[in-house]
Amino acid sequence: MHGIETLKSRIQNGDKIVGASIRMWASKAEIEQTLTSRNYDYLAVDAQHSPFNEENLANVSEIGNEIGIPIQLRIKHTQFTFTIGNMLDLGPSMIEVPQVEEISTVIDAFANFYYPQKGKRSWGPSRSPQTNEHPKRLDYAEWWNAHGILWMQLESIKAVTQAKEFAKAGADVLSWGPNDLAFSRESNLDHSLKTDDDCITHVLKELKETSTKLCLRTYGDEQLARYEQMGATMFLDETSIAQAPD
Amino acid sequence: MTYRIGNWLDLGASSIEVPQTETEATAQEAVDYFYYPQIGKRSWGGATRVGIESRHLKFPTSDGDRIDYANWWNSYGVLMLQIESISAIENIPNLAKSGIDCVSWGPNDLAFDREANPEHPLSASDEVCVEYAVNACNQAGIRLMIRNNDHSQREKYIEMGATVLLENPRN
Repeated sequence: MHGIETLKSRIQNGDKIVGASIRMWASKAEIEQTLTSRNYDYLAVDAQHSPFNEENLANVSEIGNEIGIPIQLRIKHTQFTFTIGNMLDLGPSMIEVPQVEEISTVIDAFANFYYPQKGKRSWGPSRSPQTNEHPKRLDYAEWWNAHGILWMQLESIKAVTQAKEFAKAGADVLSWGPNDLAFSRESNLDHSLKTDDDCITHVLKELKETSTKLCLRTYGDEQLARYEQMGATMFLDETSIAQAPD
Repeated sequence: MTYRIGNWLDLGASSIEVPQTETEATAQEAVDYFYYPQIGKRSWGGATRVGIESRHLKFPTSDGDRIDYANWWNSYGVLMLQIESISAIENIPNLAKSGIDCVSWGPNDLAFDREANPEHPLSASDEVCVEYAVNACNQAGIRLMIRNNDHSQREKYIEMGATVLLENPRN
């Protein structure tokens, strides 16, 4: 069974979810090797800080969908939310929007991510997951709207303090950008959120009564265990590509 | 598209040139996306950025290494705005924001603009425009970059006051 069939409900239930970052141009053999190293729940590829072309995204998504592991794409910029539907048509199951600062970005991403009557994604999911299982338009739209997973990346104090609003606006996952957030903290020295851990604790508290989860990028099992102890349930392992983007 | 400058830099470029710059807003946005905090707001990331290997930057990056690399980049990268109209030339004092290193020359689009404004004093010739731009750059504390194409033109533009040249390689 394709992992996307259960991933969203597992996230919402607070199950422990661990993914791995891979290169967008990774081969099937490289992906299979990554998956044998650990029982990952999803794989993530990056367009924000890495080279990007649509063929690579389509290829890596095709491999993921054949294997049955969900692919997450981080798009280049908040100004590219209008391309989310097009990116999804190439095969990923999840979209991460980097450096989200405004609620309007979440609203726009949401609209482009979901099919009517939830959103306004255009019909044409030829490479999307599970189309064979749901060949009829309305059936697939309903399935997608219940299974697609939308991420917003928090990378500033301003974003961190809006976590609950982003969740209410439809973000399934709020992810972490520790380095840009550090720049932001360094420019707001008088703010009460002094450390990365302060920010994480704040977001976890804000999300407590919601189904939205926080995902933290990790660089080793020790760090993952520490975040788990803090209350996080979702992780993105960056060690598999060694030189990780943020 | 100036908001994409950070992404292109993450692929390894050391310098960015923004074509057909006309407004202060474009200049400021270019500065914002070119430089890391606390000068700009470039986002941290990119495994193929210039200087990553030679500076032995490790992942995950410590705060000290992150700030060190950001400060290094902020003093290393070169940001140019290409000016290709009479109004852009006249706007050099406002385009020369802190962080802009050079304005560069676009002689052909500038020629179109001169032809559209034949009565303007700067329409007399490309050389008149260069002379005006050199003076404006000197006052603003930035440099003028000229596409001299043929290396035989090098001395001519240096004598006129340009200090950065872009030419075809010699055979």
